Amino acid sequence: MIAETNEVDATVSDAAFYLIPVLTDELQSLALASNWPSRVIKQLTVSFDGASLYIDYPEEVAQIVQDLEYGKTGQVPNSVLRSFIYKIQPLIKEFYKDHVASNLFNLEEIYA
Amino acid sequence: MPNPFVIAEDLALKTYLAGMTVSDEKNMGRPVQVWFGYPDVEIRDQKFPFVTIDLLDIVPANDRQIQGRLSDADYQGTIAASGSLIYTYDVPVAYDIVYQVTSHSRHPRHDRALLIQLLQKFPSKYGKLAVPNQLGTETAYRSMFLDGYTKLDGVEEDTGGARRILRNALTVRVISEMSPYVAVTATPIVDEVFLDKTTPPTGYEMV
Repeated sequence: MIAETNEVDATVSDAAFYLIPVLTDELQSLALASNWPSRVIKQLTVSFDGASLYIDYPEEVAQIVQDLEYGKTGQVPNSVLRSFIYKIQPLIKEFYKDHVASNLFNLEEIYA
Repeated sequence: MPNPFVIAEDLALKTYLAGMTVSDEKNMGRPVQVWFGYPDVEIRDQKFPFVTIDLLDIVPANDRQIQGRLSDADYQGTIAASGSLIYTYDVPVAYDIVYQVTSHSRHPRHDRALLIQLLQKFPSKYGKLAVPNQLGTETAYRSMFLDGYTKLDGVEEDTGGARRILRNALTVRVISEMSPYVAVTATPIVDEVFLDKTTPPTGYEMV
């Protein structure tokens, strides 16, 4: 039996709730491996706005993040945010597939 | 000169970007140079506008990876074919190579002219990049995607005071694959294995 639309939304939100700490750890690990400053790393988080996951950081470090990510005069880009997005796409797909499948379909009923 | 995985894409991208010009009131065909990384003023003359290429990442493209074995006479363009010799090898490993292509200008007119040319060169999902194989005998057109664009205008401080710098950063993804030659070279192959059954390691005794 397939769930109603509101159940889909709830399931997606629920999945995001579980994903956020995992993704935040992953993002901060990647930033650490790329030698980003520790005060910036600590402020990088992954958040969920009800519709999508996004990378979040305070406004006071925005310019530093932009300079690191895209480079500036005399400094080459040291990309973390874009690398993170490329790297976590398979992880997110896999997680949602498993989580949504197990929550939206009554597997116990199907395989009873 | 034959180029292997990544180097071939680097060169292909630089070649693809070469030859752009911009115009202004003093020069109708001002050439735009292309560099790998930001040019060091101590090494080369820094003439604005210019374009830089930075390799951001090499990401395994698992979603389009297939398994199996292929056969051909030139080891996928890495070894010159000779006689009836046929090479068989695993399907190469699929990768996405991610670059940042950045234009740097002082003049707004140069900035917009370069932006238009770059957007024409990287037309969203319709881009293609001519990459010669390692032998230089064939050229493959690789799909190329514009994954992002960011405007990065600012002011830079130098000894002459503050000067504006107008930049456009494009995130470009080129699909690629590691050739079997590179993959095999990276995989240690053991020719012979010797088993010494008579000398036990230190601290152990024969049973």
